[in-house]
Amino acid sequence: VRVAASAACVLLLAVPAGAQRAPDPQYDIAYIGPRLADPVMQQAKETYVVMGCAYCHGIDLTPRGEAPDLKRSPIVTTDVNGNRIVPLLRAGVPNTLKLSPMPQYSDLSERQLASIVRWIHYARQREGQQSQATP
Amino acid sequence: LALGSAVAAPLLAQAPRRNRSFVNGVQFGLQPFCYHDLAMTPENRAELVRRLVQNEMGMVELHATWVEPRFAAAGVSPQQARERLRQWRLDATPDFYRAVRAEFDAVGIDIFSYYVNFTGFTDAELDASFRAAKMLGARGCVSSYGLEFARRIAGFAGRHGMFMGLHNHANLYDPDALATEESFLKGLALSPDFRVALDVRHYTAANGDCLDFLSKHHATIAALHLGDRRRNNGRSTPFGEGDAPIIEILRMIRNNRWPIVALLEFEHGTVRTEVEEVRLMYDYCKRALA
Repeated sequence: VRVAASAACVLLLAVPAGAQRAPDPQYDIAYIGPRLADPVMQQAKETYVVMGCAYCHGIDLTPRGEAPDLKRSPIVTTDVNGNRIVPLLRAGVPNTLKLSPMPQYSDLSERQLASIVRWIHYARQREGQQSQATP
Repeated sequence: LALGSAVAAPLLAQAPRRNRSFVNGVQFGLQPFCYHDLAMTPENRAELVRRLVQNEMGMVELHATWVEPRFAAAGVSPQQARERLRQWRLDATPDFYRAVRAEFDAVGIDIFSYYVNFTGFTDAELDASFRAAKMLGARGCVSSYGLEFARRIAGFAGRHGMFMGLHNHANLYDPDALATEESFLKGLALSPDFRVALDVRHYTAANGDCLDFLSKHHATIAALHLGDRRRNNGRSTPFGEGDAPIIEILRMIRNNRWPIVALLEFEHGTVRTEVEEVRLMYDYCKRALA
């Protein structure tokens, strides 16, 4: 281990000053954004992404395709601690005329569902603050 | 409803040339929707080609949005932008599409199919899209639509010597939706030029049996959208974590030497880069066929 660590130090020292580090393929910083200082919120964001919510609803809640805009969804705006979002996540939205119904997430744990709710509210609040700051 | 033998010959004629993503008997390609972070625009097409090469892909289902210009701009209403795009489609020259095709040819990528969102298309635009697909080297067009639109488009593909893909989602509520074996058979009965573009993920989520469908209707299938999902309208998952029998599907295609293209596609979430995720999916498939 010590030999490997020494070799790594040599390699690091060999990198010219100012050279860019190669992007980490295990964490797509360009798409997901930099890691947040709050580890709880970072975990909430990663859960939202990994469970596939971001694919339709966007990481920053900018939707694509048929997905509703969570920034303006009445289910989100009237939700208190997941009381409206969690039941919808568990059941999905199978009865719809949209091409692709929203899947159900009944296999997720309470903790994972709570993380998704946490990120949705955080991202919505953040988006609201940014809108107000924009002249 | 034995549709297989009636259409087997034309489908074989449309079988793709083998290229670098032909692996142990199965031709792979990519549905570039996979690169979720990359807006599907002509401006990003060079990056798309670069990533396809990085992912060792020799075949692609190309969306029209990677090809066609956008006319939305300040001072241009959505209706005006739509009309300009419509006119552009009708006026586009063969040279334009040949130049796009050359970008893919230059790095050894075959455009297998052309994915077009046909919403609001006039008949002239539909014909123009098949002409475009042909100039791009595609064997057919694919789109997401229901049985009502299938009736309308039934006569178009054959005029251009191409197939039209019937693509399913997991909607079991809408009677017009393509989601089940029964709905596919209704669609296939509308035209000999229809071929199935079977989305394995959605078929699984709609509680369909992919292996049964393949064994019975393989001669009508042009391509698979290959990914994983859980049954009962469950979520998309990384390969191997859902209910789609990906390994068995690939081995069935290989063992029977069916000319069915497996287009990798994922809608599950990941914190990894999309190129890395595609690499992992592709590795999973290669191991299944090793």
